[in-house]
Amino acid sequence: MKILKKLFRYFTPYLGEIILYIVLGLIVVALGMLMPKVQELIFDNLFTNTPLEFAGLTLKGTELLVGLCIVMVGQSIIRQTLHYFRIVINANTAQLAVNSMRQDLFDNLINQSQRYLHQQNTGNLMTVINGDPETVKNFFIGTIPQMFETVVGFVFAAIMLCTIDPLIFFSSVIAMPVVAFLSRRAGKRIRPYVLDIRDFSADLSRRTQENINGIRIVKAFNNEELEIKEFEAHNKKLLQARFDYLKEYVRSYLPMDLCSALPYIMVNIVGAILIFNDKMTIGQLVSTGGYLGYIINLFSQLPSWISVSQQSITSAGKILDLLGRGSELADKPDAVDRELKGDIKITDLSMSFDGKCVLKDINIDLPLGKTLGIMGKTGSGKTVLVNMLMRYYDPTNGNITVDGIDVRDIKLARTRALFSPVSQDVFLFSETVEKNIAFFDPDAPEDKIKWAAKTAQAADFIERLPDGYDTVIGERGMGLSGGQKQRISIARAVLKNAPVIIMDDASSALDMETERELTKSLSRELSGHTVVTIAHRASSVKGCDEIIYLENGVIVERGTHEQLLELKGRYYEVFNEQYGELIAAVEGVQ
Amino acid sequence: MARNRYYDDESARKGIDGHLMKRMLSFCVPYTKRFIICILVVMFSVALSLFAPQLTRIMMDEVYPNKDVNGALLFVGIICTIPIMEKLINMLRGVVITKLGQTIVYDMRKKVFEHLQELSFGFFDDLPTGKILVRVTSYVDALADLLSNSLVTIVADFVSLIGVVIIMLIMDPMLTLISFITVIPLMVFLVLFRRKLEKLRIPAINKISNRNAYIHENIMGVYTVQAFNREQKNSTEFSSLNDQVKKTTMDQVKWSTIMWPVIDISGVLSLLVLYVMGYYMIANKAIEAGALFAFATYVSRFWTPINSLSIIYGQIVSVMANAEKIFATIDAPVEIKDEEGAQDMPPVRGDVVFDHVTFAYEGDDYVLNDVSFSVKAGQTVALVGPTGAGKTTIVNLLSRFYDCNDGAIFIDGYNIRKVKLRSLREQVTTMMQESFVFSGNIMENIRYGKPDATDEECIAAAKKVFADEFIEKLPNKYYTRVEERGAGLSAGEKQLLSFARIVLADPRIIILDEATSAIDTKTEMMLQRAISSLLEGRTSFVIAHRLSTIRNADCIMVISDKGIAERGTHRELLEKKGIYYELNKSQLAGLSE
Repeated sequence: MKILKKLFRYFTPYLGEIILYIVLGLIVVALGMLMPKVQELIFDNLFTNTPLEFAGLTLKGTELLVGLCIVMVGQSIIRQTLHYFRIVINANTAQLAVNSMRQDLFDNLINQSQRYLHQQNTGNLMTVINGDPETVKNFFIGTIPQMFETVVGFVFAAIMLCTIDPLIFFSSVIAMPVVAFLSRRAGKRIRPYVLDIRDFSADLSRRTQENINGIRIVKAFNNEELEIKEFEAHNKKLLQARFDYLKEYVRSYLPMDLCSALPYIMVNIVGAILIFNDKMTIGQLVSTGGYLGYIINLFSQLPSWISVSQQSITSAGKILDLLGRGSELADKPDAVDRELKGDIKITDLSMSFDGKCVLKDINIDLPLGKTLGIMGKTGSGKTVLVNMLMRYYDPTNGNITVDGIDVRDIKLARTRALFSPVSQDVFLFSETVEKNIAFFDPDAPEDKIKWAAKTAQAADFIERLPDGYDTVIGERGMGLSGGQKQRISIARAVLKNAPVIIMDDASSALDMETERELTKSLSRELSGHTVVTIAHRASSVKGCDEIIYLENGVIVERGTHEQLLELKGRYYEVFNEQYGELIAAVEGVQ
Repeated sequence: MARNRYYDDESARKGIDGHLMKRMLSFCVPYTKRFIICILVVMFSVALSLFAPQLTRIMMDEVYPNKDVNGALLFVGIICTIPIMEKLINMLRGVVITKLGQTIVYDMRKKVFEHLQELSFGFFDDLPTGKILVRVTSYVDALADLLSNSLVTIVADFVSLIGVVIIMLIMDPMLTLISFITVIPLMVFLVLFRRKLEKLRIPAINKISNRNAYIHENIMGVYTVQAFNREQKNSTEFSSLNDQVKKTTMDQVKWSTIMWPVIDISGVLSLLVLYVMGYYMIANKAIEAGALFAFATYVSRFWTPINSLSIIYGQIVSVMANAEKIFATIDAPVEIKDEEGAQDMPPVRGDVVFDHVTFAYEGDDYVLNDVSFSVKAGQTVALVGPTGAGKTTIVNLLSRFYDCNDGAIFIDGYNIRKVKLRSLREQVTTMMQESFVFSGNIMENIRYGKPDATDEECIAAAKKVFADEFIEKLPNKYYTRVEERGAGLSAGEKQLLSFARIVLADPRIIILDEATSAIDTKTEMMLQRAISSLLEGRTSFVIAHRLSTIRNADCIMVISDKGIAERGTHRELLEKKGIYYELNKSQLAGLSE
């Protein structure tokens, strides 16, 4: 319950609506009390032709009939109209509240650090953003007002029953303490089952999501049957969890359910005794039946309240987990917030993940306009290094400064604004080519988009696509080759036109001819920008002002191309491996 | 189907579709017996509830006026057992029906998922993942209640309705007809209203699906989102998708709930008519109070099923869109499948022939036009050429990820379209450009190449491709958990894992589609030496852009826009001084710039 209280703030902006909703509810419930009373009067006064004294008037016969008809129809129309508005108000509030909760989750998620995001899986995150707020909403907007109204209905009905005969009322609630006890117990018992269902369905959704994303690998390895088997296992687990829940539900709720038959039984017995002793009229018996409905309601709604509240406690926990996770990269209150020039300096930087050292004692001077090439073995920390430049992570030791200021003292958005990155894994959105390129600035003018495409050597093939720049490419950039996707993502970075361009193995899928053209056009169109290039082909980094060679997170060689060749170290080896024979062969042919 | 963007609504038919209803019901057919039991149980409880007012009538008209103590004991006794029986029956019904509903959901989900596995890439290319996902998960869930609870309720309601009318007609035909007079205007209202409602119901679910796709894309592309400072803009975009969901949902709520007050007021009106008639009838001693009360109870009972039917009606209209999407998925044509009479392809040597192959992903935008070549078993073939020339397409056709529009492909003389797909893909395996890690541990990820492999085999495969080195450095070595989102593995390490997978799979024909692009040259060299023994005697296709990766190939094919421009060994092609030579030379020129 404490957990749910924390999420209550999403509903406080709509307190006015919620109160209106409840007030209308009270009116509806109060009006509902009229109907049994009318029936009572119909049987006791109208049918027996007994005059009714009401507000100084004596109503009888046709007058009474007309009066009762007016009350009957009147209350129904008012009640139903109010009820209709309540439903609309309720749905509206629910949508607003759940949307703002979702919005916060979404915002929080896309602002999370990569350190956190890498440990998550997409399917689970989607359940937290999609499913869990819905469950919590059902509790706040559905269950709580319903509880309130049911209780109020109960109180009103209790008063009305007491006016008939207190004995009737007391006999109807005799089972109350037992039910209260049972319901407390039921809540505790049902909890683990609710948790299981929530987690298993998140699992199922994760599994499905991975299957869809990895469908190419599935097919490449002929593993459709394996996938089906695994999915089956999850599907079955969820089914079983639901069955188990049902079993526990019956076990816990059947006694409560049977207790909720007690008011009806007791009232019938006590009613009969009262009538036999002339303490109650037939009409009163009729209206008792009507009021009894409100009493029983409290009993029979209890189980569903318990399971909804258990579900929402479970979901609220997951929501708070994500919401409570402030990004470790959050801006300091006095963070520098001005445009930066882009002179970057890395000093004694070390980085570890889970105690595993990935980078050690890195020192790099990167003034605006410098070009830096990074080479190194698989897993040597190249990508981590550039991700640290862009402040996807903060260093374990040492620091990175921009214009002499530690990046941790600069607004994150200002730091990120410095970079135009092209990452290894090309991610495209299910959008048109144009919108994908103009990702940074959706309102970019057409000629700027075309310029970016041209600079990235992408203009030619884009123009040959069926709808040119308006061709919709799927999330997977389908119909495009790996090299074409890479060039779209390069164009995206070019359009941003930030001072520092980061090319993380960004041309691996390009043929050498295209890559050469690309290098040329980039240096022509983006002269004066800092360029950081990670590559495995020496040709990609050869022209850089400085090349560093990483091994196990340590810079083992650094210098210009010529200096490194002279060093006859690792860079030299790689260069020879890649081009030595080629040089010999081409020269031989010549 | 045009390619769908996250904000494009999927197509939707309007109103209730009889055919779709039938399809949904077909999932219930295997459980007919249980349904019948449920319906019988429910009918019993309906009968009980129809019987109860008669007892009240007797109490009111005979027992109480006469102060008949024995009668009172008897009838009160009977009345008291009724709610207990009802509770028990309802619980039983609840359990059976919930189980039934969940089982049907399970079946349906299984069917959708199984079909997804058969669908060719085209389907996945056209639809954002988030939109496919909901079809397997929440859409199916939404049908559960309709296909179990509501189905039984419909039957029970109709039975109850008919029962009430019959009892009322027996009690007093005149009064019955008069009290139902309000049904006529209600019917007129409902018929008119139906049109409006069915028009409205559709969009909300589409908007939810759009939002889902957007969430998914943002999670997958969060790096890019952050890199381009798009957090604010995407948040706004998300908010507008949220607003659309709200707007369409509210339209639905506003219209669909109008039905309920109208039905309720009609019910009260019919009670009113009854009491007015009753007033005059009692005055004329034509009816007794107890009978009138029982009658009034039946009138209310008459309106209860109408109310619940109207709710179910709303439910049907709203899940129709879900059903449509689910069946659209199940019905999506499987483009690549075994032809009739397809035989297993026996273990092949690996002669590959492309015979006048023509292919376009879409329309007549041909990627390959009349391409022919043959490769001898055991050869290593390198495909080089500008991006977009069709290198990946060629190898995708070989493992039949797509079928060619024209021409044919033969392996050892078998037309690959005439053999069983499974036997083909067992022998032709591709290592893709993109490497994908499933959540699970490293061992499980390697084992993906051969599901029945032992741990030792997996480790041996990892060692063979030098993945062992980095795996040993992980906190729990082979049992380190990785998430699908990457979890600390670099792109090169992921490629090494994929490599281990393929070594384990041990296919006859291996396709390496830029499989080593993220691996450094030194590791790659070692890898090549290691796999050259693996490739020994096997046909392999290698796509790469690093010349060092390809120069040792038995045969290099230069693919240009016009198909295969040149083929030969590294040396032959250099001597030919054609495109390949130029490629190399320009590379060198690049080096000396």
